[in-house]
Amino acid sequence: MLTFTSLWNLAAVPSCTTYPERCVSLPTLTGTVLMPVVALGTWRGSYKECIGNDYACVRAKAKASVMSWVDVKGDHVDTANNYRTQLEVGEALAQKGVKREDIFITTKCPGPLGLTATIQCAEDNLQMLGLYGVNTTGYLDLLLIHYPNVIKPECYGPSSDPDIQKECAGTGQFQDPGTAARQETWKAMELLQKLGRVKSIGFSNCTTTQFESCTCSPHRNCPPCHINTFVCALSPIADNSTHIAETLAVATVPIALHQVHALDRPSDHGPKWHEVTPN
Amino acid sequence: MQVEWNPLDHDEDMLALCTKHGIQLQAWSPLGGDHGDILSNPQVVAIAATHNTSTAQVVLKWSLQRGVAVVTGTDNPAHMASDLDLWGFTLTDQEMTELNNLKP
Repeated sequence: MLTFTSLWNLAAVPSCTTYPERCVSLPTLTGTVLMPVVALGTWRGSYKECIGNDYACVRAKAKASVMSWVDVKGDHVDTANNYRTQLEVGEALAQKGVKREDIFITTKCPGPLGLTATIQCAEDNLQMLGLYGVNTTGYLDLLLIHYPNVIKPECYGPSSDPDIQKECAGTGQFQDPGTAARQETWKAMELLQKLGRVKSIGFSNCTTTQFESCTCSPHRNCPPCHINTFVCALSPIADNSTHIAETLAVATVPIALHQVHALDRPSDHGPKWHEVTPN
Repeated sequence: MQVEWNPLDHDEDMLALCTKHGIQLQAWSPLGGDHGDILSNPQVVAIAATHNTSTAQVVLKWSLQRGVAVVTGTDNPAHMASDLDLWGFTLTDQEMTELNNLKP
């Protein structure tokens, strides 16, 4: 039985102590985490100059943005393994001399990858964010399972191959990893939390149907039923098709779909991009 | 739980489910993405004028007052500063209702 090596009462960046109304409380297996409610995202859709799959551009913009965010006293940054901006987030924070305890970092693993791959994903995220220090792995403040389904092996990253482009369009890029993989993924997330690699965990881009299928299993401490007591047996891809289709349909129109500031902030319009890798 | 959430696309069932289970909802695309021109919507413009804020600040504050955290996306430092400057005003119940029911 794994013991909790990372018990704490409260984890809070300084702004959450000074301005409690600017943060929300996340109850977790190991303690309460306070999260600043305004985060800066670093997905490529935020950067209008970066057309298509120009990740060199995206990465440079992400780095500059995070540095600016620190300048205006932002203390929550959101990234993801498949935003491909984690290196730059880490570099920006390092160059700004931000102390680890002064910043809240949210990142994501692409889907329910299973036990080992989820642990590996968290490890890679920690490395890319530059969090390894002296005799420590560092930690993530919030790790999310990015999508309820996994990306097909051939659909990782942009491709110039028309057959792959066709296969990976829309929901074609995802495949159902099965219930066991989902449960193993959630076990990994809880393990990471118990090991202190992450302070809080969650998921994103689920539908309510999928969410409700993240049922509290009888052997868990439930109720109270909060996110950390879920066995996240997210429902299969069929139940997700509407949501994903909707998300990806948005991605095919010539405007950023995500975190866009419209009209009176025209400089924040996203690039005109037409492919469908997940955000 | 991080999902798309803004005045033109807010899944109330999802918020209710999160609230029921004590899960924090986080919004991506909090300013509306392609769902329409929220920031130039006359109702939003009017509310912003009342509070002497930008329309973006009104829309972000709407999420926060609904109990939903936000993830903004911009490389514009002025917009970043205003995205963090949400604490000097409060939307009224009537304004919240108006924003809840906003149509494109």
